[in-house]
Amino acid sequence: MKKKISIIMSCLLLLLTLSGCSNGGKGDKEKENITVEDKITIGRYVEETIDFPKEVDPDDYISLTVTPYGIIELYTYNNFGFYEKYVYTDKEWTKENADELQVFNRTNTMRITDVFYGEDGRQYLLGNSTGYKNAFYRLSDQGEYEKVEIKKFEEKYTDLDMFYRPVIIKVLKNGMIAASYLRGEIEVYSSDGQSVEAELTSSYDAKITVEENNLYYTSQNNDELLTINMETKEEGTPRAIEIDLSNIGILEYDSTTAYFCDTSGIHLNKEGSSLWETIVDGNQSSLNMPSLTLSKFIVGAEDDFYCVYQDTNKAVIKYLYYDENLSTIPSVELSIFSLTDSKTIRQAIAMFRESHPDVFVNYRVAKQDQGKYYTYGIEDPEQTVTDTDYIKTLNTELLSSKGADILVLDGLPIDSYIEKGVLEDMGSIFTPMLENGELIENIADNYIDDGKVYAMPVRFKFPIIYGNAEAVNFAGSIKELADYTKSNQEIPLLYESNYRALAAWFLLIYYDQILNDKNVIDEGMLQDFLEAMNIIASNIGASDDAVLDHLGKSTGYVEYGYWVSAVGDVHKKLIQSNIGLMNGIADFAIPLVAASQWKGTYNAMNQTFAASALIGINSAGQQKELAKKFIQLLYSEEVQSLALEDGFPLNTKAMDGWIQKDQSIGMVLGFEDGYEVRADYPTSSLRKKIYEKICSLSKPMMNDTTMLNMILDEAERYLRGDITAEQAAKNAVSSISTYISE
Amino acid sequence: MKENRKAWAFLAPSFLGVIFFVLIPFSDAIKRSFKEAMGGKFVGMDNYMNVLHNEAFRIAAQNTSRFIIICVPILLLLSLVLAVMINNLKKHRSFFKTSFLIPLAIPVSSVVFLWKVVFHQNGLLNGALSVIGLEGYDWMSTKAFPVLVFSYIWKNIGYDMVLWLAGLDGISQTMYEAAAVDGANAWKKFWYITLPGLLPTVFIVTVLSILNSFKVFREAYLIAGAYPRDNNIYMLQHLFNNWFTKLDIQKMSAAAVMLALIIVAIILILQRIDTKVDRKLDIE
Repeated sequence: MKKKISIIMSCLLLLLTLSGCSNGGKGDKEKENITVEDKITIGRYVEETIDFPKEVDPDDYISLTVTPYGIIELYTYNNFGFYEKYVYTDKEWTKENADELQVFNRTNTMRITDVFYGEDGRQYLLGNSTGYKNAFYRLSDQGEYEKVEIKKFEEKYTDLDMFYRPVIIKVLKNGMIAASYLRGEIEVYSSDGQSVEAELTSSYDAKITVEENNLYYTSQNNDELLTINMETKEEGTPRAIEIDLSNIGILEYDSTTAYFCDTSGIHLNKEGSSLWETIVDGNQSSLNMPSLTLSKFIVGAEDDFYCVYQDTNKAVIKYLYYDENLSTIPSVELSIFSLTDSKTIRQAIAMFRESHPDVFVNYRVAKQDQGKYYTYGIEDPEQTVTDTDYIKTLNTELLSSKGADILVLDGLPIDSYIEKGVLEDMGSIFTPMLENGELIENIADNYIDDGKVYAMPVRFKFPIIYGNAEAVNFAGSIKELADYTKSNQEIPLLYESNYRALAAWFLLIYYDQILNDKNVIDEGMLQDFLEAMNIIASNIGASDDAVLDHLGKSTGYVEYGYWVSAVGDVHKKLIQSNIGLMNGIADFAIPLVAASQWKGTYNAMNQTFAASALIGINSAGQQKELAKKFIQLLYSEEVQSLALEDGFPLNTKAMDGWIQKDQSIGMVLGFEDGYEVRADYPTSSLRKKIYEKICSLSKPMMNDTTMLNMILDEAERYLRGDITAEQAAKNAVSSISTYISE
Repeated sequence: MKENRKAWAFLAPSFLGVIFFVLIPFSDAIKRSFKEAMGGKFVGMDNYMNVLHNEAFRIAAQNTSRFIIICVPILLLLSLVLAVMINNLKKHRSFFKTSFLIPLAIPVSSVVFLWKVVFHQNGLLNGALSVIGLEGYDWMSTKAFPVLVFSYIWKNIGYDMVLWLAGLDGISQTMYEAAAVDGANAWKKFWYITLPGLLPTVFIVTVLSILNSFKVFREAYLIAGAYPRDNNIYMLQHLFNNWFTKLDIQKMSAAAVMLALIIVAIILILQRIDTKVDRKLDIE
């Protein structure tokens, strides 16, 4: 009996399990009626560029706003200093009368920086007056602007030489004004500008918005959306935020829906729901384009959006609307794999998407969290997954012919990939470019092997030494530098450094000086190298854990090109020189000023350069032709001319543009003790000299991190005094020979 | 027939597991060992020849063999001594049994952390040595091989001891009683009763110990990384791991096939010896 019951129960269980997999009651006939189209998810947001009115230069943009009646208005100023107003209807701009604004024309001391409508239906202006002091105006019923005196605007930050300026300013239905300031301060004022006690705090960049009389703001940790009715002072129920709001973005509220727009996309949350839905992916719009910075986000009346971006020095308007006839994800996918993020690649993706709307570019960055930058040879102690783990995952994909179409080869075993035939010869792309002189020859030539091109850097960086001319002139080799240091002990040659970071820099720069005639690491030469390095390490007071903050665990300054404290110390003449990795022309500004204190100079070190984003095509990729088109765009003048702080362009025309272009940029580097180094963007003659240095670069930096780390391990032990230079060189060569023999 | 069906039913799940997770992947490895890494071009025995001429393979194979030759006998001997001692205990037998099994339950990463605390240049061992006036070593860098041998024995001794104890349980107590009546001392009892009685267990303990010795790579890798400073602990698994990172799947497959053949050969030899010894004992 028991046996029968158990059989029956088992059958029942099986039946229930299988029924759970059914389609919920659709009959066979209905199943047959399902077409291919039904299986494709339909509908997605499409982005369009809204061109400025023909007579308006995008440089002259002031504000884009939406009226209480849902009309889009554009405010600009013309060459004569007068303000202009345009209305956008039926995809056309119509110029409208803006006489009332002319009281603020260029003869006035106040310059309008923003125009918007409050929830009370009135128009408001925010502007800058003398000394960058802010002013706030309201358009009265009589059609005149009346100043709203907000005391806070008259005050300066206690620790900064600048007046308080609202990050966001909004007006509620009852005329109250809500303003947020940096460091999370939120203040509410009455309609006449008097402060109202509110005691509200938000996250650092204080994201706020208003709807009717409700003020919405994010909590200090960006994990809750809080609300308060400023009329009744009633607080609403906090809504959990399940998306990452750490990026700078804009919060909006419309009817019952909260919107958040940032580089990752547009996300919404409906009242009563705890879910945040991403309706626009940042990668599939201009939101994640590195050259653009979101400055305005407007929610339209028909589930559409307007985004205003600031490009280098002009505004760009993008319109996003929902097209219900397009498939949610484009049918063609071009995949790109990279260990680390590259701004230039992101930029090219956004531009490629504009010309190929039916292609989904899937950019996979293995190491997503790039909050902290580490100098060469120093590993991120918080990294839980190693580069090797990512490489193994990629290798598994490559072996099953599922790897990405384009591989960014930085940190990947390039030689092995070439040997195994993983990489496609890109000669058909680059040979004509080289023949036409479109690429910087002295850099690109290093990546041509027997007429074949398997990898090519998108950009490049190069190390310079700057400061005392004598020291700089001795930087041709580490031995010369060590000899110079030995006879000039009074002032340290460089900023004090961590052993490993120092060794990493010298090895990368002078790597060719440990190679023998057969291009193999020579034990004797490595020993001499280590001994020379030890002389410099002693001179600068290097230690095990010195100045990781400045050299190793930088807050971005390593990538920016120079070590902050070090540049100050060169300027103060506390150290003779400093080494910096140059990403662009602007990076030279402050180092050159620091060097001038010594009546000194700068020089490229050992003609070495570092490739930034080495591109290769997967020979087994599904979209090889599309990959080639993408790469052509990547190396085009259009993409390469943008300065994205990730290296110099490889495109000659883009490089010429960089060298020719004058920029009136002033830079100030301030230190905690109040010390400042001020500099201007390098002049034309300086830029030409920089170009000469670029033309001298001929040696790609060693990119084998395994080998680098083997030498670093031993160099570190030697510099620490644990072993002799001879032993260190012997150990390193022994490990390397095993590695090579593999 | 019915009994057979039952047996197959019980065997089926693990047999399927072996097919899907061992035999099919291994047959793929065999296939790859005769082909280029990518593209699938047949290259005959080239990959095998490349591996055999590979310097790193030779170093790794030597180190791995040395490790097995040193560790397995020591482990067998020590665990047997422990098993016999515990078997003779009248009290607290299960307490000791459990104590020696604890290392098996500790995660490898924790074990490695423990060894780093003990064997680091500024670790506990060197601290203790300095107290008695002796100079310490950078154990993890220069004496990594003995540390690894110690680690393997420490971790596996309990497991082997349990296997020996199972063998000891199979020896009839009446034989010991009869020997005692005949005036045999403890040593004679061990030599003439225990040892021959354990011979059938030797085969399985040896095979399992050899197989377990391959798992020591986890410790070696966590202690010294992909390229150990002390070349003596550069094992075959280091090489396989590095080959995979470099996408040298063809070399890896060829070496894996050779390794599998060697292991099977060792097991067959041991089995043959075991059968011969069994027969000899049966005749006696």
